[in-house]
Amino acid sequence: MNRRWLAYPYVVWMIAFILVPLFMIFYYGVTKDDGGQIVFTAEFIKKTFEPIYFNAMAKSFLYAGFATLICLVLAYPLALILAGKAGKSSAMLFIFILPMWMNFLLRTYAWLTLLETNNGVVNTLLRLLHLPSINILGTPNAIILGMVYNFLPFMVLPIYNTLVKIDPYILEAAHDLGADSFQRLIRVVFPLSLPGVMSGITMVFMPAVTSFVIPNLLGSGKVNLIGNLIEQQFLMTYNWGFGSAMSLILMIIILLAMGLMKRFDKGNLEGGAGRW
Amino acid sequence: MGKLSAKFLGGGEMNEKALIRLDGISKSFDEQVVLDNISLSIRKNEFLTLLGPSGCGKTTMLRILGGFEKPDVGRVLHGDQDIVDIPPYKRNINTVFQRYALFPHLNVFENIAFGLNIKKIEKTKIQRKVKKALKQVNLNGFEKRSVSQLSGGQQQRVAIARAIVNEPEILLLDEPLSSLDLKLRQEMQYELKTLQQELGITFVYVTHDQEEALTMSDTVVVMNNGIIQQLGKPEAVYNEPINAFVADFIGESNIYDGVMKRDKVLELFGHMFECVDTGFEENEIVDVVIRPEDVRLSRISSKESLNETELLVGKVTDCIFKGVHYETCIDTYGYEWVVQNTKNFTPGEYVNIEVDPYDIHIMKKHRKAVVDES
Repeated sequence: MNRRWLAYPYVVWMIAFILVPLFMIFYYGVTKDDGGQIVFTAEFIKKTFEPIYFNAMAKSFLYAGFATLICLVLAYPLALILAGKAGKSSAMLFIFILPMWMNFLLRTYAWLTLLETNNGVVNTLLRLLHLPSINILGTPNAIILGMVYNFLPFMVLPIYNTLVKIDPYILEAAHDLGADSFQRLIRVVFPLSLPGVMSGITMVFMPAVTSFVIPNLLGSGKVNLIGNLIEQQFLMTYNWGFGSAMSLILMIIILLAMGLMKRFDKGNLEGGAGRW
Repeated sequence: MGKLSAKFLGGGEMNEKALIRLDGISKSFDEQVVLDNISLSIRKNEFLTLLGPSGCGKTTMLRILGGFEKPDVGRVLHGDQDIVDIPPYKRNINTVFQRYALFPHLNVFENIAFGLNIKKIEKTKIQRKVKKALKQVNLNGFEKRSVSQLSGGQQQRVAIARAIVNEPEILLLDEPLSSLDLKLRQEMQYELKTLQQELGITFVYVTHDQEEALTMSDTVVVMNNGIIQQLGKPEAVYNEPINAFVADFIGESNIYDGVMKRDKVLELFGHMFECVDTGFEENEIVDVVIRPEDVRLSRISSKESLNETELLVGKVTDCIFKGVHYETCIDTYGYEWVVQNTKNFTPGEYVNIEVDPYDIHIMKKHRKAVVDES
């Protein structure tokens, strides 16, 4: 008890950098300056649900969901391969997470040059091979590509971590009881790696759904996601109230989605296991 | 060959035919020889124990039987078929792993039903079989429990049930009791033996615990350095150890270098002992093994009689009460004797040491790998 003061810096930190900003966003979202007087208003909240804004939000969820799914499909086999290579895996894993330490903007700009319509690296190569060029810059495809590229390591790492922690004797036991490698993957390895899959989904989906740099650059400003709209409210139209309201609604929806997923996850482990 | 080895191994009352035969198995890991040209027959319905210190190759041998390792050289014969290349999931052999290796995401029922589900057996049949297996390991009504809620002993029982429910031809057990406490371990020894007799399945059991091996086995295979040191019934291995290693590993032993002066006469620490062994060369240096419970001690009452006695004399250095007996340590010319009897001695006392001729076991130096045929 007498060491309680050790927690004080963290309490101060939490208040200053988490609680106060959250409160301020809430405050901006539900108040407005009415002729020098601050009054409560539901105007910004309501505006968020207008089709133009709500559609942007729905689109954000759709693209982010799609990117997350592609990440999962790519990352799971990769994590399996890495986890299977005991000893050698750390060097390979290092190569896969190395790009994470490079500047995020730089990596996204790089794709811009790669995908450029006329003189981009990809299209130059395709022309050399007499193949039709691809023009995806400014389309949802480019945005999803950018999301997958940038966030893939966040899916690989947690899955890899749960896979390497599976007791090798449990894997042998599955073989021993008659399961071939595929049956073992479906009945034992995948269910045991679900916690990693869940945190991978969270770690990819969250930054993807709120991203505004990727749609800005790779979408050439033609595709507006919720992140872009919020950014515009703060930096261009200076409507902090509306920007805050949109952030607030986005946060609530994400929280609900995560809560639901956790529930589904638990239900799956307890009730659904019988189906395996 | 099958016939020959079965005859060689004796055990007439049970099925004579070898169920599985290891033939010239060798295995190395990183240049280190773990198994060195091992041949062994396992009969149907046999409780066979691989006994040895850690690193002796016993677990590797079990893993080769299970299909988890491939030998570098040699064959594993099941009938006339070499099964070396058959993966574990196609073998009719199941394993009870050392640390249980239960599936943490499945409950007790689902764990036990795992193998049956893979085989796509009818649901009602699975239910019946799992229930029966649970009953056999005394876990009635545990179906719905999560495996993480079970104690170590209960987890062990689930692991056993999960294996036997598949009705394997051979059950492999890799030190299954090593993480249980002493009382539970002893209980489980009896239960395992009973279970084996009820099921009529061949058990191949790996352990480093000699008491476990002696309690349960029909056949004990003592291993060291990748070589079978001795193979035989528990009584035979205990009473007639074939070399100093086996004598030392099975039960406690006093092991010394002695000289065979001639038939039935042994020189040990300058004293002549009468023994029953013959057939050694004159003045051959031999290993002498004497069990702690076979040594008789008598107090030397006075300083004078110390010089008069013709018997081997030692000085008591320690005497510890062990429950059933006292364990006395005695020093003779710098060599230590460990003796178990019911007398309490005081450190510093001098005692006479006597051993009956038939309790002195004499072994040729470096004799190894001979199959006992009792």
